[in-house]
Order: sequence, then C-alpha cells, then structure tokens
Amino acid sequence: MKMAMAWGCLVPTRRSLIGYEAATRKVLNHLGVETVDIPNETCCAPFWMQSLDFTTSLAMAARNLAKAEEMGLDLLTPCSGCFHSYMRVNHTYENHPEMREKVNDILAKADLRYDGNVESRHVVDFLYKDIGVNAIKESMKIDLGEIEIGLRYGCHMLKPSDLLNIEYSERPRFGDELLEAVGVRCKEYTGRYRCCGGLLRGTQDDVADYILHDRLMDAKNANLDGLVTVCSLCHIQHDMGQKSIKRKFGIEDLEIPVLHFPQLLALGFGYSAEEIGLNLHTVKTDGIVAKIIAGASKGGVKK
Amino acid sequence: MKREYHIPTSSFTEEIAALSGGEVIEKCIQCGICTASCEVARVSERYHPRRLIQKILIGKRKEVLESDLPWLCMTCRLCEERCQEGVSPADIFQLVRALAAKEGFVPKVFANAVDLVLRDGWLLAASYSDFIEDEREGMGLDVDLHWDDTFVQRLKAMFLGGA
Ligand code: SF4
Ligand code: SF4
Repeated sequence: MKMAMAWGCLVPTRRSLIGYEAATRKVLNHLGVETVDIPNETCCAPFWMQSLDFTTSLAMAARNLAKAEEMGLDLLTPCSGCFHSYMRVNHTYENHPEMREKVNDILAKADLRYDGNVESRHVVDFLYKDIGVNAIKESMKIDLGEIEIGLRYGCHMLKPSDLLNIEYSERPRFGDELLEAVGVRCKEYTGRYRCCGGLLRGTQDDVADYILHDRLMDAKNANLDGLVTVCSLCHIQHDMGQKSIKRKFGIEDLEIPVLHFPQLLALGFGYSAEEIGLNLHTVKTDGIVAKIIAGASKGGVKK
Repeated sequence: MKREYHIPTSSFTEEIAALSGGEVIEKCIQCGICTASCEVARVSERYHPRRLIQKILIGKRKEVLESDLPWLCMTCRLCEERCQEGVSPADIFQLVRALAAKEGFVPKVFANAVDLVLRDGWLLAASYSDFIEDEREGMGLDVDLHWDDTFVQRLKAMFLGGA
C-alpha cells in the first residue's frame, strides 16, 4: 500500500508536534505502508480561509490533491483541519458539479488539473479501517496494558459526519477499540468529547483559554495517566497550552501528559520515547512512558 | 378562531437562503439546541448561535455583518449535528463571514493570516525557526519542508476577487 502524505503546516513546525510526524512515519513504515510526501505542499486553506473566498480556497486544497492524482495515489494526513479541507473538495465536486470547472480554471493557472479521483483519509481512520485492529495488534512488541488514558477525537476529524463520513456519533468508539485491542484502557469521562477551543487560539485567546481550562479540569478530575489526541490543534491546546492555564488559573498540580495517537502505537512497536519526539512535548511524558516500560518488564514484552 | 403563524423572514434571510449552505435557515425554530451545545457559548457571555440566527431572521444585516460574533464560531459543528431542523449555524456563519469579507469587514487577525498565506504559500513560514530545524535534524526528519510560494503567487490575485 502506498499513500501520498499531506502533513499540513502545524505538524512539521511545532515543537510538540514534530513527534507526531516522526511517530506517524515510523508507525506507517512498521506496518508496511509506503509513503511519499506531496511535493511542495501548499496551504490547505482551512475553514477560516474558505469563509473568505470559498472557490479560491477550494482550489488551494485541490492543488495538493492534484499532485496526489498525478501520482495515482490517495492522500493521507495526520491533521484534522487539513483532512476537512481535502474532504470538502470532493464533496463540493459531487454536490455542485459547476464548481469543478471553477476550481480547474484556477488550477490551470499553475498548469494543474484535479478531477476528483483522490480519496482523502485521516491517519487514525486509515489505521483502523485499512490496516485493521488485528494487523496492529500483531505488530506490537510491548504491552501497553498498564496505562489508562483519555482519548480525544476532537471535532474536525468527525464533524460534520455527512461530509467526513467516518462515523456519526457523539460517542465514537473506533479509536478506543483500536487502543483497547493493544491493551490500553480508555476511560470515559465528562467533557471528553467537547471542543478544546483550539480554533480560537490566536484570534480570541481569552475564550480559547476558558474552554481549554474546562477541558483540562475534566481530564484532571478523571485521574488519567495521560491524554491521547488525534488532532494537531487539540494537541497544541492541551500540551503547549497547559502551562499557561496552570499559571492563569493557579492550578499548581496540573500536569497531564499528552500523546498523539501514533506515538502510543509507536511505543508499543518498540520505538524509544526520543525517536518519536516525546521529549519535545511541553508537559513531561516521562511518567506515562515509565509506567508503560515498567508494565512491559513485568512480563508484558510480547516478542 | 383562525390560527395565526409567525413566519420570520427578512431580505437578509432571503439573501442567506439563496446561498449554498443557507437554504434551510428559515426552518430554524429557535429551539436553542445549538447554543446549548456550543462550547464558545458556554464560556462567552456574548456569543449565542441561536441569537445570531435570530438576528439574521429578523433582518439585522448591518449589525450582523459588522459584528465580530460570526468570527467566534470554531466550526466544531456540534450544533449542526444536533439541530433537528437540519440548519447548520456553522455554515450560515461561514456565509455571513463571506458577505462581511466582500463588504470589507474582516477582523485584522484573519486578514493578516490570509496575507501571510498568500505571501509565503503557507501560514507558518515565518515561525519555522532554527530551533525547530535542529530538532527535526536530530530526529532524522527532513529539515527542508519543501513548501513554497510558487502556486499561491499564481492565484493570489484572485483571492477575494483580486483584493
Ligand atoms: S439552528 Fe437549529 S438548533 Fe439552533 S435554534 Fe435553530 S432549529 Fe434550534
Ligand atoms: S460550530 Fe460554531 S456555533 Fe456551532 S457549536 Fe461549534 S462553535 Fe458553536
């Protein structure tokens, strides 16, 4: 299996997200998925750009899809925001056929054309559906059974469900199912499915802080070993934003490690914390990693 | 006695209803499920998606277009999933922002962000620092991200109708 990768702007450039890229590359490689980066990736023109100029924004996302189409590959992205932009292109092509030509008129300026043949996928959904729980389970080298985490699906990977077409549920399960299959305990807790406020970071910081405060308190009250995220914004909020919430609201014992979904799998595949950038996260991840290693040395090593 | 109905409508409603994504705005029954579902509304005194829809329905065009409230929607779309009438406040506010943009009301932060994307090809070129390059190198990741501005330079003139 071979996929064209669109990493988005956040994942490769944010200190606490580089490990998301590293872990995603390692996990896909470990599972036998070949990847090729979209050449000279362009901004996916996310929702706030779409709301300013929908057609031109759509053409920007279509530019990366056109590159994947040239290579004859489907597109895979770890960023929920990018995923949304790419899904929007095919969706618009199907529901408003007149937009095809409008978008292609713009693409023609760069000698490109996009005919809607690329399927866009989110990494987590791809791991669940295309690789499958069993294949992942068989690839595990150490047991992750000692930890209890809160898995956050975020908003933009799943909603609106008629566009993104993964699962419609206010309590999605597929990610939990995958992690539980490799031994992780996923805890149900209040606020788990609520928005993190990430999209207002930088534009309405105060509102973003209040929402994040509530999410972090939800997680804190749930006594988790850590949070697991599938969205770049959600990760930036919970990990990089945690320090300022701690200060702003005077919560001294706020210290919740935040891991990306593929990082947790990569640990199970036997990669070290450094190899997948866990040392770069703002909130220290040593505790949860030590707990996994200690559990594994108690007889959890599988192969 | 003859039953009477109030069908809220206004030329602003018509304007939104004529756009893709806004067609069903008149089905809104003002039940408030959107506001009850909205994280922004939970923490912000000013922001209520239901009320914003109401302002459109009763035709407060100028007030809505000049307000920063439509820009507070995070497009998390929980309201859209929950609305029993098939109305999407997120889509409607996106249309409102597009109209506002056409008439020159774009909050500065958004205008600045668009300028960056149209200049560099992506939003974070300026914040991709040496420190991050070093970290990437240390992890065996490509330091050159290969993003460029070639494509945006060609379509730049078109964004917002050549603004
Ligand atoms: S948009 Fe939908 S959820 Fe919101 S008030 Fe109207 S009918 Fe209710
Ligand atoms: S999409 Fe916007 S209005 Fe709807 S719940 Fe989310 S933030 Fe609130």
